[in-house]
Amino acid sequence: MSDTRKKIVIKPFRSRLHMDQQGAQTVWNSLANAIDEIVLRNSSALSFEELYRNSYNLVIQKHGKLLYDGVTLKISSHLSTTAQNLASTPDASLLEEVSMSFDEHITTMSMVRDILMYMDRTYVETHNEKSTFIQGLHLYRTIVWEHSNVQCRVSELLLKAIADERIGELTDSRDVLKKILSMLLQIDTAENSNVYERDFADAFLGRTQEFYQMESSEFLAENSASDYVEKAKRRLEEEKLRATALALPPTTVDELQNILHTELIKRHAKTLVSMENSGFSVLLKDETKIGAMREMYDLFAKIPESLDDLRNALCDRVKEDGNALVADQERGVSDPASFVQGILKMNDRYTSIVDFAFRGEPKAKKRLKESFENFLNVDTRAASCLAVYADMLLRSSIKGASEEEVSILLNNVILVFRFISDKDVFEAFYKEHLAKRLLTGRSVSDEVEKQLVSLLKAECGYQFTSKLEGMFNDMRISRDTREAYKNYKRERSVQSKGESSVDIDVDVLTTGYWPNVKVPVCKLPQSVQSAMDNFSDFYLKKHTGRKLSWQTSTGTGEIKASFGSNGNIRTYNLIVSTYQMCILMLFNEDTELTLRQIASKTSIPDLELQRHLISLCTPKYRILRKSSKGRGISGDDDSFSINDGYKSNARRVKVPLISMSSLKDVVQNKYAADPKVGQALTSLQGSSVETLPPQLEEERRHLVEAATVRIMKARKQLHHNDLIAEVTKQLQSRFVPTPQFIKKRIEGLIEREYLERNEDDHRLYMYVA
Amino acid sequence: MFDDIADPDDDSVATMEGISKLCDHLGIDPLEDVKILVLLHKLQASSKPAQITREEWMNGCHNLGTDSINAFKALLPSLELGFMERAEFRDFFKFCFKFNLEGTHKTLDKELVVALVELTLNDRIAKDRLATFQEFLNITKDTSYNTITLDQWMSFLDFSLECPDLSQYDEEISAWPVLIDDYVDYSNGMKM
Repeated sequence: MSDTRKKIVIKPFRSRLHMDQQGAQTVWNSLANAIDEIVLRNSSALSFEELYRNSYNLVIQKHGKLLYDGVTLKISSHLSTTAQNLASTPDASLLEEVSMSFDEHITTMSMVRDILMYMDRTYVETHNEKSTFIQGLHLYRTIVWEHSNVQCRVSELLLKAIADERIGELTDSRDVLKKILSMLLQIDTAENSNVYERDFADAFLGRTQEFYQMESSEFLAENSASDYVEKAKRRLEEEKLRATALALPPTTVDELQNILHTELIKRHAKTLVSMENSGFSVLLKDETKIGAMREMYDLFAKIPESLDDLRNALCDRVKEDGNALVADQERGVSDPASFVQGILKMNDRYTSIVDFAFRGEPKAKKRLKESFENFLNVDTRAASCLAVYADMLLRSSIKGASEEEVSILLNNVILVFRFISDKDVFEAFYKEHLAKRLLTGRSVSDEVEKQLVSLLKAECGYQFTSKLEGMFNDMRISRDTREAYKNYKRERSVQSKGESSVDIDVDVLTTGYWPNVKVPVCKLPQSVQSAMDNFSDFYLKKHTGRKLSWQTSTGTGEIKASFGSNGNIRTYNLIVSTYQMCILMLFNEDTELTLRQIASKTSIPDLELQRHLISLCTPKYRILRKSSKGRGISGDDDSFSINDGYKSNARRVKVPLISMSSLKDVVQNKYAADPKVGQALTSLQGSSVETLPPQLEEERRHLVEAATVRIMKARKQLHHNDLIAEVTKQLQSRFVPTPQFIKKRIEGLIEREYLERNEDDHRLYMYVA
Repeated sequence: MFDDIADPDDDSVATMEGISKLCDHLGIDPLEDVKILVLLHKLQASSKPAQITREEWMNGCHNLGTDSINAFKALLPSLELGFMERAEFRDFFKFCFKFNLEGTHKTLDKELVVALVELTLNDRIAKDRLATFQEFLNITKDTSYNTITLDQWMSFLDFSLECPDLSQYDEEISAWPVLIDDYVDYSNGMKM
């Protein structure tokens, strides 16, 4: 009890750190009040230091639980109020209110967290509780968000806002949507919960899919493909902007993109390609629509696999066009040159489509190349047409063209050449045409000829063109030889024995280089024969050991022929073939001769004889009269005589040979039925044959066998597939052998014991040394 | 024994005539019974077609332990093809081809092949395979199949054993001789 006298009393030291339950409760109450103030935003009156100290003390005095539970309860009760308020807020302002309430809550919890920092670091850790801030979010979620009348409505409102935007209706600002989504994300991150997905994302993606599935189908049913592409593009842009504006997380953005691509593009890819009037396949037919094609390409590019649909459409188109081109050529509607020009045009057209619409992508380029190769290599016609086209160029088209133009034309030839797999067929035909041009002096320019040959060499290597170059050499050497012969004759003043000499110009050709023509020599007029013999003597003295075979099926002669009588004599110089020369000279001895007689006197082969003879009795060049009526020769007894009434305006008359096709028409039935005649006609014709010439067939067999043996010798043993692949690789710059063709050759080599089949594995071949 | 069947002009070999005589002794018909071929194979008469040399005969008899006709007769039942293992049968099959060659020819005529496969493959491969193959050879108009090579002959055997099911046959990657490819086409065409 008290004592009035002042006394100094020494009180025992009492640690302030000791706090009992009652003390703790008191401290807590003050904190609780402080929290209320914070919630009411009256925190300015509070002292942070004091609050921090109070909570610190509570924890130190082992009243952490009291503190923690107290805070939890306090916050919960405030949140319950919030929840009730929101639950009764009308839809129109719900989103805004929720967003605001969350912001407020965050502000509150930040401050509370600051106060309770010590507790977070100690009590929370050791007791495995949620830290203050996280607990705050947890409570918000469970009490406010998951209130039955809050979450559902908010979710629905969010989805409706987006749906409205999509159909172009005015909606709330995106800002509030963004805030709410970020709230959900924040909660999920803090607590490892799933509210964002569960209460928004899943439904959002689901509704998006439904919406676009329907819209895209409906739109496509009513509009053109290009319009659709336009709309799809716009929608994709729109969704992208919205995703950014709403700050959607990457996972949602990715899934959204997948859905959009699937519904807008993948689902309708095939329709967009094939639909009538405006599909990609249709666009391909119209050169002006290249922009629309590119738009479609860009859209499809978002789903790489669907680009195959576009590439397939391209290839189908090329195939159709290509086949039409081939069909025209087959029916005879277009000639070889037009065929080649058609190919060049197609190439230009589709290359620019690939370059622009397909943005030059390598896959499309590859498919295009394959498509061309496919339709061009169904048979050998491309090779023969190209050779004819090249012949036409070198005979006439390049006359007067500039260097640049020539370059372009030649490069075009190479361009088509690259597509052809039967390159050896082309070489054979090209060689024939070249031979004709060189021997008749018809090529426009030697330089251009050589230019083309060197381009071919660059494509295929030396072996391909060595023979062609040999042909040029022969021509050059022949020129020199002719000069030398002239000098030789002058020096020796050679006169042939008896007959007056005839002048001859000889081209000496090396057999291996030129196309084979195995035609027996015909019987020539004596004067011509002597001249030939003289030349032979001269040549063989210079080049001992060589053998000369005269090709009488070629060559021209100039004959001075006199027609008429009794003072009205007309003399002309007739330029005729060697055969015709032989035929006409006969009439110096006899006035009338039958076919049989002419044949035996000249030894000219049957069919050629008819051709050259008929050419001398055509209406325009009726040098001979034929006893039978009609254009053809009736038979062995049909007789011929000089047409004395022959007239011509020119002094020099070049007598043309009727074409092979005309000959075919004109040859009598009895001859036409003879298969040998038919074969002879075909082989004489040379160009535009769809089956392989026999010598090429043999050459190919030989090349395959040689390659096979070479490879097997090096590898000693090899499996079937590998051997086929190797052989094909080695030969493909010349022609493309089929596996069956190679297999047949392998069998032949097995029979001839170059190779053998392994006893245990029939697919393994072994080299026999 | 050899003297009995030896060729009158050259007693170091026994030709088809002598072999025929042997068949008579053994009571088998050379045209219908494959056992004579099996016997010749076991005697290793492989030096030249259509004959067996005295040396081969002597060595063969020694190996087989046959010193008399009766011994041969006793041996006959064991010559059934069914008793042969795969590897041995393959050798025998090859021997049949080579033994039946004529002179310096390296191939057999189609007709002979049709008969020979009947004789040799009768119980070794599926009946319908054998039958359709013979049909195919008889019907085909491809003149390159008028004679059959050793490779084609052996391949047919290997193929029949390795590929009992033709539905999986892929001509594109097949390494069998073209004859087999054409035969499969024919056979599948029949089933359609």
